[in-house]
Formats: sequence, structure tokens, C-alpha cells
Amino acid sequence: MGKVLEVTDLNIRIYDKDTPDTVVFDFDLSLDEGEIVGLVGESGSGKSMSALAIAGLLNRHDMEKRGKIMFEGRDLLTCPREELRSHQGKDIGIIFQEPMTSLNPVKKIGWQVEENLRIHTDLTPEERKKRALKVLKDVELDDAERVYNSYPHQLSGGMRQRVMIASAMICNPKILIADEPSTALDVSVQAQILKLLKRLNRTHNTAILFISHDLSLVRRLCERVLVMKGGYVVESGKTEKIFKEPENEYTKKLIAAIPICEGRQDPIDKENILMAKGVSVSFKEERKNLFTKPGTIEVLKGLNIRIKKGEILGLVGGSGCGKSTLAKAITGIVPYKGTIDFYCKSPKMVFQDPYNSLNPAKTVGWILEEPLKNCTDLSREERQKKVVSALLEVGLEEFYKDRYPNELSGGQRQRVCIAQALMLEPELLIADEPVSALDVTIQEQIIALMQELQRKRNLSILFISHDLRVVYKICNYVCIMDKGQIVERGSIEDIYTKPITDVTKKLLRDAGIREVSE
Amino acid sequence: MNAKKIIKKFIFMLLTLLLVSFLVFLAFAIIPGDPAVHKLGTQATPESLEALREEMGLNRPFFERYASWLVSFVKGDMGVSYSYNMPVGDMILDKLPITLTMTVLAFCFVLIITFPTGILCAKHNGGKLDRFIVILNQIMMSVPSFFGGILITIIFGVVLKLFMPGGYISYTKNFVKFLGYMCFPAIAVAIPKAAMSIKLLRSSILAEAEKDYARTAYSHGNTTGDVLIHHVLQNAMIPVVTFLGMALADIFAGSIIIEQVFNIPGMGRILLSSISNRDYPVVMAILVLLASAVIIINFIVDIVYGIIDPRVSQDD
Repeated sequence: MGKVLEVTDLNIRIYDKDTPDTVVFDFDLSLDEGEIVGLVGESGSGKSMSALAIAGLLNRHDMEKRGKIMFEGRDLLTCPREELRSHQGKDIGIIFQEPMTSLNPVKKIGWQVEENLRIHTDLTPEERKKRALKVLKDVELDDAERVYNSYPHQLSGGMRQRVMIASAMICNPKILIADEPSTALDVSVQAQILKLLKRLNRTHNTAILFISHDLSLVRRLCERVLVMKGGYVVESGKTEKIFKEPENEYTKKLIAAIPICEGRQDPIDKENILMAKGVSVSFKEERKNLFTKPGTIEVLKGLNIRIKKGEILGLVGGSGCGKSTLAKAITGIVPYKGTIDFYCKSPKMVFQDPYNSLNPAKTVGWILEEPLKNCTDLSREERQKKVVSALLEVGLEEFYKDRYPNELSGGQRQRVCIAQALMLEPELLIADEPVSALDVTIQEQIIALMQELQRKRNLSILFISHDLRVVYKICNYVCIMDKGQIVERGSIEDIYTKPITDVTKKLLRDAGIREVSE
Repeated sequence: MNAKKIIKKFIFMLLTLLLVSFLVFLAFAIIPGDPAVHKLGTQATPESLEALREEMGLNRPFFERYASWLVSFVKGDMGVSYSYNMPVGDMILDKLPITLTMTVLAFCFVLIITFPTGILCAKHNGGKLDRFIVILNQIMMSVPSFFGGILITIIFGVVLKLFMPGGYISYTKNFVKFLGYMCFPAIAVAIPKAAMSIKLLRSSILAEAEKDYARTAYSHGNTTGDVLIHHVLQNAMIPVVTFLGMALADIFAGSIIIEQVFNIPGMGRILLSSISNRDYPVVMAILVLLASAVIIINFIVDIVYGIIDPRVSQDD
């Protein structure tokens, strides 16, 4: 097999406020025809930067790139822009992490998928349409004709990612760069996208550079793996070898973060902190027109749930099963029918998106102080004291109180969100996908923090997630939810080893856990 | 945008127009001042005043008067001017083309200036040309149209002698010369508006060009120009269209001032004279017309919105 791409000594520097900062050091990569290579690392490790450089998309003026990116005997770094453009889209395709925003919202799918053909070929409009429909079918969008005439907002996230893949594959590129292609998607959709990539790789002999922070995905897909940290490639080699005998400390840590089933201590029976019986929530559908009566959608259908004192209860389900609605019902954000009895002060909530759930115009100190101002009679000094101690408790230093949310990283923001939820010392915390927007190593830290807080304060936590792997790390008991009802509950041990319902089995499969435990 | 939605919007627009007409009528029914007294003078006998009121229909109940006013207004009979004793419809029909021409010209200038300049600025973001235009923009934005009008009169009229200041030529006499004369007030009105929309378009393009879909477009081998024109522009126009709609309405309704500066006998002039003469039928007719223009422009903007952004016209 011939080499299609050879990257040697790639260095990328960014000049930020005149001080150069190297983000990628001496990056080497060779890609054979039809090979799938994984590139793993946490955010900020330089993996996306390297990928963008290979795709010729790093053209900012404040960047300096050195090294060689050899493709078909030419160096893509030094060749004229004109020549680079003739390869982009035709020989090198790229798909991105965010299928929601990577498509132009005001153009039809067909127009966008055909773009590569318009730029790189002389096909007539009819031929282009034929090719586009064919490639849409090829990425398993069955209703290709309808998708062709749709706009991005009319498609789901998984469908949009398929469209992205279709538009990248339409010229049969030699290389496909997939930059975290499934991270933003639901686990079940994730699995389908991976399968699709693997199939395309086999049928079209396209080499794939698969970038991810998730080792278990890389293991399923890639023959070779490069592990990056802090801009350096710390380890590379055959996937199986790296999994069996990791040499680098960081690689070992990453592999240890993949959950494998093991025994758990029996949870201790304690008194209830929350008891919900027959909770139903329904929303009014939007009116179709002026004259029809709006219908109702039942999101929760007579659901029962019980949370015990001091336990971390997992609540797992696919998207749209009503788990967030349950959280909102418990915290009183949406009206519900049925009874929810608390044996504690009102619960507080931590949300999924730490980027948008903090007011960007206020300092961290102000944000943390607000609940105290509204709900207590503490003096200014006492409030300030509490703010500082809360910051220390979530592992942030005192000076962070004068920072604004946009000056913090995702993990730090989620710490602030947790601190804010804890300001009024609740006994029950509702955490709605608190780590889904963060990458694995940060996920670990936040989970460790929540466990520590739970022990120290004897908190009860309802931990909502779509990902059984995350739940495994933190919870004793799990409830599986589907279509507005709890379909299965049990200790984490039982759920993992003896799943009863199909929903649970599917969730386990999607999370890549079944294979490990079987 | 689907037909159903447009019809819905259209009905809504008609209802708004009806409300505006009612408010205008109500306002003129309750403000002090008796048109009969104004017409006959303060020396008139009570009997003759009463007779005139009866003749003008001022003694009938309010809603009856509103209904008959509205019906005849829609038919095109907008009443008779108190001070000129001629049908208001004819007066307006005489002046409307002048103001409309000015508005359309000014708006075309805004469009012609905005789009190339905005795209050019965004393409050379941070460069010398961009910085020059941004500074020039800032200055142009702060020049009120009447002051710009005076400057234009001095530069193009007095110094360069491209037109005769104050020498308005009626469109019935010589249409080409009329257009030539109207260009100058139109430019005076267009400059501050164009400056604002350039600023808006430029920042909107820059914000859109940072988005993920633009990166996708680059990954397909597009040139910077292609990405800006084929991908970014349509997205960037969404906020600009709103502004342009407001600007168009503003130019039309704000024509009063610039017509004074350039001595143009348009709608603005009759509005001013009829207000000082308490010539209510004329004032009412012009008010309703101006308000209708604003509402209709908004309706058009809504439709254009649906064309530019498919998410707005989503069928749900």
C-alpha cells in the first residue's frame, strides 16, 4: 500500500499579543491508502490544530507553521494557495465536530453537497444532482430526494453529520479527516456514524484520520493510534498494542478512564429524601394554524421515582425520553400532575452547558453571591466569606471571584455552576448532564469533585446522563428511563451485568460497555 | 415562504392599518380647535357656524363619522382641503410622485453604496482600506441629512455648478432634469443611512465568517471571495434587511426636512403648511399615508426575511 500523506516535523505557533505560543511540536504522521489512524488527546492537546493544518484551514495571520505536509509529492504548506485549493474538497475532505453549525443554515442541502462538484469538476447540473443523490443514499440517508431539497434546520444532528460526510465524500477523496465527528451526537447515533465511516473506508478505500478524545471509540475503529498531550505526540503505534501495553503515563491514565465492570459495595439502605408518585407532565403543541386546537404531548407518564439520603442516583435514557423534564418538574420549573414529596430543603440544579448557563456580564463572585442576597439575611462580609469558601470547596482559588465566565475554561465554569448550586446548602442536587459538554479528562475531575462533595456534605445527587459509562463512574443505583417512564431500576452492578429490558441493553451497547463485560 | 403564512401576515397588516386609521381619526376628533371656526373666522355668527358644521358633518356621532370617513378614504375621496378648497386626493396625487422619487432614489443609493463597500471592508478586514472606510463611516454617520444637504448645495451647486440650488424643475416639465435635481437631496439622505448599514453589514459579515459553516466552505476549496459571496453574505444580510426596512420607512417619513433644504414642493411641504393652517383633512390623509408606508414596508421586509432565511418560513 502506498502512502497518501506524510507529515514531518509540523510545528504550529500562535502569536497571541505578540508572545509566540507553540501549540504543536514536531508532529509526525504518515497515512497509508485505505488506513484508519486515530489521533487521541484532551482538548488543547493540539490534535485539532494539526488536523486543520493538514486540511489547509489554518490561514490566520497570527499563526506560523513549519515542517512538511507531503501529499502526492507536493508540500501543502508551501505550495501556492491556488494549488492547495485544488486539493481541498477533492482529495482531502474534512468533517467537523458540530454538525449543527457546520452546514450553512440558509442554503439547501443539495446545493451544499454539490459544492465540491461545482468547484472541482465540469459536470452539468443534472449529473451533479445524480451524483449528490447517489452519495446521500451512500451515507444511508434513505429519503435522499427529500433531504436534497431540505434546509439544515429540518434535519436531526445525526442526519446533518451524514450530510457533512456526504459532501466530504462526493469527490471520492483520498483522505478524510474526521475531527470528533460523533462527540456532539447522542450515543446511539454515535455508533451509527462510526459504522458508516468504517464502511466508507472499506468500499471507497479512503484513508481516514479519526480525531477523538474518546479512546473506546478509537479502539473500535482504528488500526493505528497517535496519543497527543500538550502539543506533543507522546505515544504512537498499533491500537491493540497500545491498549495492552501502554508505555506513556498519560496513555495509561487515558486507558484507565475507560470503565470496565468490577464489583461494587452494597449501597446502604437509608431514609428517603425525595419521593415522587405518578408524575405526569404534558406540553401544549404549537398551534398548526389559527383554527385548530393545539394538541398536547405527554412527556412524563405517571412516573415514580425515589431518591435516598446520601446516594447518587443515576438517571439514564436516550435523548427525548423526558429525563430533563423530570429534573425540571422536581425543581418546580415546569408544572406537573401527581405528587413529589421532599424530605429536605428545595433541591438545586446544575445544568449541562456551563458555557451558556452563567451570565457573561457578571463576575463569578457576583454570580455566587446572588442566591445569598436573594434568600438569606447575611451581611456583605459574611456573604463574601461564604463565596470564597465555596470557591475553595470546588477547587478554585480566591482570585476567581473577580473573573468573568468567559475567562474560565469549561471545567472551571462547571465548577462555578456547582458552587452556585451549593451556595444555599441544599441536601439534594439535580445534575442534568453535568459533564456531557466536557472532554474526558475534565469529566473525570468534575466527577471526582461531585463524589467528594457528596461524601463531605452527605449530599444526595440525582445524576442525569445519556451515557452509562459516565454514570458507572459515579452512581450506586441507576434508573433507566424511556418514553416518559422508568423502565428498569437497580444497582449499577445489576444493570451492567443482568440488563432486563431492550432499552437498557441498547444503552449498554451504545456506550460500548457490553463488549467489555461479556 | 408559504402562501398561507403570507396571507396571514397580510391580514394582520390590514388590521394594523385599520387601527392606525382609527387612531388618527380619534386624535383629530379630540384635539381642540373647531374647523368650522377656523374656516369662517372668529367673527362668524353662531348660526352660520352651526350651518357649516352641519354641512361638514361635524355634528354626527363619532363612529358614524369615522365609518363614512374610512369608506370614502378607501375609495380615494380623502375630503376637501379647508384652506385650498380642493380635493385632498388631488393635492396628494400631485405631490406623492416627488417624494416617492426622492425616497426610491435615496434607497437605491443606500443599496448601491452599502453592499460593495461592506463586502470590500470585510474582505480586507484590518487593512488600510478597511480602516479608512471605517473612519469615514464614523464621520458620515454623524452628519445629519439637512447639514449634508447644505454641504452638497454649496459644493455641487455653488462651487461646481452641477445643479442650480433651489431651482427645482417639475417632473411634468422635464423628467430627466427633475431626476438630475432629485439626485442631490437623495444623496444627502442616503449618506448617513448608508454609513450605518455599511457598519452593520461589515460587522455582520465578519461575525458570520467566523462560523463553522464558513470553515466547511473553505474545506471545499472555495476562495475567500466565494465564501463571502456564496455562503456568508446571505446569512449576514439577515440583520441588515431589518435595518434597511427601517431606513426606507425613515427616508420616506423624514422627507419633510430635506424637502425644505432643497426647496422641493413634496409631501413634506404640504404637511407643514397644512399643520400650521389646521387643514385637518390634509394632515390626516398624509399621516395615514405615511403610517401605511411604514406598515407596508414592514410587511415586505417580513417576506424578504422568509426568502433569505428558510428558518423563518418554516412550515410548522
